[in-house]
Amino acid sequence: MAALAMDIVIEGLTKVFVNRADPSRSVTAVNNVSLSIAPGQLVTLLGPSGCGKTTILRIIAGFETPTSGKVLLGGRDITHTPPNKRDTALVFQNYALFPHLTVWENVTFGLKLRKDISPEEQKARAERVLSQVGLSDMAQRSPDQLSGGQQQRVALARAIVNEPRVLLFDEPLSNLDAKLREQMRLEIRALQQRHGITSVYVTHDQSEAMAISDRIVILKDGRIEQAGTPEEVYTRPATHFVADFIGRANFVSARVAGVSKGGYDLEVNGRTVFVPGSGQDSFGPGDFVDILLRPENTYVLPRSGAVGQPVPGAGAQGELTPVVDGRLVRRSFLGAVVEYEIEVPGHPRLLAEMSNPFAWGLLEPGSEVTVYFSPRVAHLLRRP
Amino acid sequence: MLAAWRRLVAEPPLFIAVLAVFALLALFVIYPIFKVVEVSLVQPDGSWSLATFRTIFSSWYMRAALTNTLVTALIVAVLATAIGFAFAFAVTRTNIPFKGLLNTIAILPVISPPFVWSVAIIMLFGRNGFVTSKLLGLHDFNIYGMHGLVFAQVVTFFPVAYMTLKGVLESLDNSLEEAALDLGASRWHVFRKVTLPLARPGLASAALIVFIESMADFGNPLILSGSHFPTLAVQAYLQVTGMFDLRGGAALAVALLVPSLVAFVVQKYWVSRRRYVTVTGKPTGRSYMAVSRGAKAFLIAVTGLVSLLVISFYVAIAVGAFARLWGFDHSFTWRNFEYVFGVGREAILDTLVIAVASTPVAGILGMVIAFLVVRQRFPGRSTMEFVSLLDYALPGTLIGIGYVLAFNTRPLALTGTFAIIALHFIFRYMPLGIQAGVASLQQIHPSIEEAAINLGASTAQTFRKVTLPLVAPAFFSGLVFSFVRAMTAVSGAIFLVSADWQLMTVQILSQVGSGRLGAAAAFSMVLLAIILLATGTIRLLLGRAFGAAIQQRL
Repeated sequence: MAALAMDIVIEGLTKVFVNRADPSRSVTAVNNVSLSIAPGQLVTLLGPSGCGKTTILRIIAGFETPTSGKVLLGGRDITHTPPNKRDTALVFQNYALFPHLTVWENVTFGLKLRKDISPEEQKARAERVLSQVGLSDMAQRSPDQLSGGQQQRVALARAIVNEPRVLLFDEPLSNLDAKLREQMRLEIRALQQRHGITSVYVTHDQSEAMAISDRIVILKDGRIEQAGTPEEVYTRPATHFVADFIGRANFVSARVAGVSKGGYDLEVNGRTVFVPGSGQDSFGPGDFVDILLRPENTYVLPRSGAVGQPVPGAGAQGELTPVVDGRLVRRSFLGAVVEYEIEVPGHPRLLAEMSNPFAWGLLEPGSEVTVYFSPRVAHLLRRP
Repeated sequence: MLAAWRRLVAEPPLFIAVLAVFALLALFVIYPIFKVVEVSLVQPDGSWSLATFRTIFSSWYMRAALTNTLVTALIVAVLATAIGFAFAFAVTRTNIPFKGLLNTIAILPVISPPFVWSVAIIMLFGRNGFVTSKLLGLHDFNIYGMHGLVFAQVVTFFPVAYMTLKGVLESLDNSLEEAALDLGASRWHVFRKVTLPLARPGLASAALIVFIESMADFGNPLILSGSHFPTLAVQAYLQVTGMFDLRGGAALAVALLVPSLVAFVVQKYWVSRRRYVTVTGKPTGRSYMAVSRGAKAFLIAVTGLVSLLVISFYVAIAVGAFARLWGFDHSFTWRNFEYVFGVGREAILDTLVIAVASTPVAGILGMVIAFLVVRQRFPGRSTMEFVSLLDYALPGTLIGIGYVLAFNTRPLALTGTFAIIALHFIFRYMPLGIQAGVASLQQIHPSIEEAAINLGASTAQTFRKVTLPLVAPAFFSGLVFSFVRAMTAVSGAIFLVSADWQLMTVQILSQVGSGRLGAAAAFSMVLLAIILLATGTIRLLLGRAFGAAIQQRL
């Protein structure tokens, strides 16, 4: 994709919050971040609190001026454009609905400031957007007469009605309860795709990010750790931090014994297992690595001593390979799945999540077990 | 710093507003104060020295005025804060009956002229006082002096402490006290170890404000001190108007300025920063478990006694206004009111015109400054805030002398005009609007304004369409307070009145001075009636426009 096709381009963005009284306590909130977003894409900035994600969003909206770096919108440098002159619309975390105006007045607030749209067109647009968020009947209410989810929809309608070039979301769902959150994120995604508006979405909730994003940018301490599709960052995390932040992760320590056939022979607690490479990694013999096992790729079976015993239901998963021996210390039966915690000598505890638990047979805590995995879906990370 | 300037220049309306406010503050706040200090330091031959201070404080009488003023202010600060706390605690932490009445009684003195109680005190406790001479038969009791002044000032200023402390106690979640009780602490222990320490910054703040008010008070000491108990504000006034010694008056005003300024800076930049913000989850219901029966009885006794005094003062004023000759002949008469509406008519009209003209200007200017200070970033922002509050914090005597000194020559020869009194009121009572505006702006989350800007509105459009409607209730309550203050002002204005422009408060003082208590009482009644009518009307009109929000604020 050529650079000119990009809608938002961020180049070498850095933001330092200077503490004038004590310069040593100045904070670098964003540290040399570069990023491009294609038209119509929804990109999520994901990371723990204090990672700089909201600062980047506020710089794009124009509420913060970067210490250095540039923001380009459709090829135009907008780094020093005032926020009210930018074609961006922000959905605030607390919605920021005008409490003295009705729903209708809130939604038409931005439209009324524009001279290029006729009043009839303004009315038609506002009606259309309100019906899209299902609030046509609530137009004359004041914001405090709405539920949290309805307020959220008004905030969304108020932003979309201006048909901005870019939609910005600042943790828009964090004030809603879990069930409504899941429903609203689907609605946001549907509306965004329907209008085809390029969007930047800030959240610290990884499942929210996975559910709605075209791409996810994972940030830590103001730097980009990894950017990729939800599938990429989940299955091929670039760092331990990403592996741990996106979903749950077991790391099994290993040493590269040999390189062969597009993969690696790894030495794990005296066993040798073969794991195929991703094509992008380049480990050499003697390197220390961690095998990333997601809990759903961690299988726990009784240790009968017989290696290569038939594994029920393993067909779909491909060949299951034993990796370490351990002792079962916790079993939590959750219905559709059973969660096991396994203690392995000289290792952090491993977590396994096995679906269809009765087909496998429930194991008793305290029993000696062997941990299996499917090498095809495992991922290797260089030990830090 | 550079970035802040660049931003300011990029938005011309903002830039112009900031420049205009600074220019106004420099001319009408800084310059008069500077003039007083200058005059007190520059000698007739043009040299700078402390000679004026040496001369004026070489007399024991003026030295006594200095110590009297400071000692009185200290005593009043402690007593008024204690009574204010008792009222605030009773209203917020107990279920004693008549809480609404207590609240009203504790707020009423705020809307009364600041020295009306002195008139009432003379009626009740003076030489021919109803209580002292009629009830107790004391004929040689002398109310004039420190005890009389302290008495009057405590009653006048405890409401100031009450309002500060009520806010503090209301913001302290009483689940903290419940938690302490739950952990096994006794009620007395909870009070000493939880409530009191949490309220300490509020107590210090209230005491400092009362200290400043007492130092600056002019009306009460003029009426009640008597010649044996000189105070700075009164002596400065006598020096200027009686001896025509502007230099000596300026020196006394500077002596008054220094402790007030110190107290103000300590209050604003140290004490008020040490506020505790209680982090709470869901609000718990009000419960009044933390007060024992004995404590409650004590609170009822204290607040009841003070309330009784306040009520009796009002009754005395009301009866006095209709009595032929207070203390001797209490038969009913309209004579006092005939006098007030005859001789005093011009003063009533002048006062109204000046107050009505100056309060909207003060209110709007206050809102603009509050918006600039809270929401905008520009060089000199904190200086703007500090200077804009100065006129309210410093003694009126100083400001009044400053206006006389600053505006008696061309091109700003304003002495004796309507403008000089109006300007004085605008800059003296604008801080009430600023404080109301700052408080309400801080409650409005900045993201609401950001949302408007994000949707394409300019700073000016955002202020007009979003900020202004949201702070309107605060704006009008600030307006009401500045109106009341303008109606009841005396300490600075007394230097600025002229034959053409008279004020009711000055008239009341001169009636007391010439022994016409009945006329003074009638004047006070009229003043009170105007204030109640005006605030009541505004309340009614705004209540319809803004609902319950403003009702609570007023």
